[in-house]
Amino acid sequence: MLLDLASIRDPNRAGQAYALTFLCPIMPGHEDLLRDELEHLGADGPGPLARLPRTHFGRWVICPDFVTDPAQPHPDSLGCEYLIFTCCIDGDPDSYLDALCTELAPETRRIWRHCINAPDPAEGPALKAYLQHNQIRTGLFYSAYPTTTVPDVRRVLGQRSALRRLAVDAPDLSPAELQQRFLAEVR
Amino acid sequence: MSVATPTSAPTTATGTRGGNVDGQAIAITVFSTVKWWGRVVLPFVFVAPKVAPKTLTTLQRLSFIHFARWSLITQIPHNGAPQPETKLRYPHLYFESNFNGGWEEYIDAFSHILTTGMWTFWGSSYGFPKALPTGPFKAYIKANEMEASHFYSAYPEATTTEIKQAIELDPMVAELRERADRMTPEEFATAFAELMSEAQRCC
Amino acid sequence: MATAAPEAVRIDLGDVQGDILRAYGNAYERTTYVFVGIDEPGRGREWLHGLVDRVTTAAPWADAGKPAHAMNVAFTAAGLRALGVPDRVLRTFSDEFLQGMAERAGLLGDTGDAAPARWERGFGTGEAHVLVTINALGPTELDAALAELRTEVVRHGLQIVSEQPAQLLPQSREHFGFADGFAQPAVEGVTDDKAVGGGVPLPHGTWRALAPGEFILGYPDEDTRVDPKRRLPNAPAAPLGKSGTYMVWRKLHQDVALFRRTVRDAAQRLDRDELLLRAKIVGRWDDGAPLVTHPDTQPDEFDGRAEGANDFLYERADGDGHRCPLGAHIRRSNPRDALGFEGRLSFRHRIIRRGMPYGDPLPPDALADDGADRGLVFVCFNASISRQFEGIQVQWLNDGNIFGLGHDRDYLLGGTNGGSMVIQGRPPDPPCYLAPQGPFVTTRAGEYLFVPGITALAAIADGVTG
Repeated sequence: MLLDLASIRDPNRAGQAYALTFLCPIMPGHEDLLRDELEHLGADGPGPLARLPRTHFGRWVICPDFVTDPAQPHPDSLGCEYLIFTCCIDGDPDSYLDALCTELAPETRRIWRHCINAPDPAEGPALKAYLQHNQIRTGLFYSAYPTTTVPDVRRVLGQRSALRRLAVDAPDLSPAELQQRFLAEVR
Repeated sequence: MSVATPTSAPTTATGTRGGNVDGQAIAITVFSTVKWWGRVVLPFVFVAPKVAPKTLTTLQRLSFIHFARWSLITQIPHNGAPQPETKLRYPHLYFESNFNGGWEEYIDAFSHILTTGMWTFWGSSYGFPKALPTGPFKAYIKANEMEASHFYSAYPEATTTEIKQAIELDPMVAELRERADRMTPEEFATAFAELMSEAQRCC
Repeated sequence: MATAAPEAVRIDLGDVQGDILRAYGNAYERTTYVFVGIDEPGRGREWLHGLVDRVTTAAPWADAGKPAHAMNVAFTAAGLRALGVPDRVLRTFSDEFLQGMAERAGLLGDTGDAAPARWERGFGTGEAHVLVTINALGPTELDAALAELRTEVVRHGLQIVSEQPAQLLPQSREHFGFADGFAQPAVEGVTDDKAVGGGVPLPHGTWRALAPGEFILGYPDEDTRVDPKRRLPNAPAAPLGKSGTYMVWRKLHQDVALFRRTVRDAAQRLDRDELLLRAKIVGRWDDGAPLVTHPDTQPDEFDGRAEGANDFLYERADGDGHRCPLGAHIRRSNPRDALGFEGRLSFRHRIIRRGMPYGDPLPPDALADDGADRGLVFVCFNASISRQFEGIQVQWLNDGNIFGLGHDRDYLLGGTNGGSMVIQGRPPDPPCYLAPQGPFVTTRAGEYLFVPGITALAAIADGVTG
């Protein structure tokens, strides 16, 4: 119930999960350099966000401009390209941003140095302030499992796989073996 | 009979560009331009007690979206020159979704199941062709979609349904675990069979 | 899925090739698939020119009854190119057709032993251009038709890339022993009488046929039904699109001995009746009787083509899979209402199947492989290969997620990584779990093809495609 009240007050929230959305202007001429930087983030592994264990999902997207629909009376240009950075995280956004700006500093420096008037080096409290300035408020945030944290998601998935493996093997096991394996493997 | 679990999950993340894919997970990122009245209606849609929840309940049943968000952008934060001081003529609707399954099935489902819900969210956007028929609707999303340069999932091989099933299973397993070491093997075998019978929709 | 009746659509049957809407497998005893390669567009078109008038159409057979043989023609993308169809026309075909099946192998699960690199010679390489399907009343009629075809191919300086004979097994069984080929989609204006069990289930227990454009290009499809502008689905540029369709051709090797041993061992290990276990894997008994309507025993007599034989739903009658498991082969490949939402997640993913067994059957009680090649030539027709055939193959058969079955693959097909399966039990009975098994079915060859209408075929032969 408390969570529900919290999410009514704060549209960035769904249960304990929080939606962070940032829109930062890219320095003219740096668009391709930034794209190159971002596309290499996951080149040899899951990418930097794996080092922030409270991250469910995250993305960096370069937005060249708003699309002008043929039905639209006038175009509405952004004026320059923008970097969209969003993530779905567990719990408090403030401490998450602290972690992002310190623990991921090697990457944040390389990414946000391409953004207009971002701090140099792009890390620590200065980057956090810059991001907060460019944060976009969420209108509506949906989660399929709003009360489950990343470690819990991983734990219950592991538990389900272990139980399934045991169920496959069960016809060949004695009751004692079944019990031992359940206690040892399904956690 | 040997017990091997398939090592690699099948390819199901189809119909989208590589940057939008991490394992089974797919990213959709879309901006649409909103007519003037959307500025009034959309904030209401987001908080009204009966409008959005109806759509979100259907999303829960469809069970392929992990997280999704909508934001109405009416002004761009300014950081000083050389950033142009952009005065937006229209509001813009940002939508992103983290989901599993093929892009085409996902859009199909949106069109056929959330026909009214889609109108609620995008009816105020310029050029929105209604959710049905699916052809023009798919073309609209493709035209407004942006490819992610980097997309990350903490559990790329897991689908929304699996996660929800595993969450539902958890208390049933915990309950057996709590008593398991005090049981005789025969009692345990019976209780295990009961658990598997009770839990068969989520394991 | 609006229920408003669309304007009646009349299909120009004389312009549609005959093997699409009619199951020649039932009308003819023998089938041979001949793939022809073309080196020079002019010679290829000249050969086709002589063929056009002899291609069997869907027009009703005259009083004389069915002809001694039927002949139908389809083209790979490489084939259309080899016949000189210009690029700007080719670009109007679907992406997946232009890429070809081999290019889509990773997506389709054709990996390992089923990978295109291991396919039979001439497939997946751009060498197979034209597929001529010959259905004949018997061996004599087949030999005569084949001899004529071969002579003409040679006379025009073309090559036969592959010849694949196929024939019905007794009682319409496929090699694993299951009666096959029931439950085809009912098509508006053609097979409305098959709507019950073959069409789209409606909320009040009735059924309706599918729009013809789901299977024949140039006609209204299910999208047209709800579109106030009545836009027709995407089709290749005129004159090629009208009355045509896309065809999927796959040669699927079946390891019958492995299937038999695996099911026998599993039945013993799980203390289950072997016949029931077979039925649980497929969703139908050996004779084709559906588990939903016959959950406990195989009926003494079952006619899959009788009225009402396929009139059943999953969610309404058997939502928990206690009769027909949630992962049974037919529940995956044609889920009817099993995905909830009154079938709206499945009705756009239907295909017309025209498969045919090849190779001699393994003797009834044999449990060891005799090394012979046998299996199924899988053929299906659909207006969109990606939405229909690939949707079924990729999302429903190669993965179990949409059915709440995690990454379980279809147990009957298995594939390189093997299928796995839960057989739900009616509480208090626990479910039982079938572990992944070796591949029962392996893709040996395949192509995506385009089946033109008769007018379009003549245009290809004349070299006036645009």
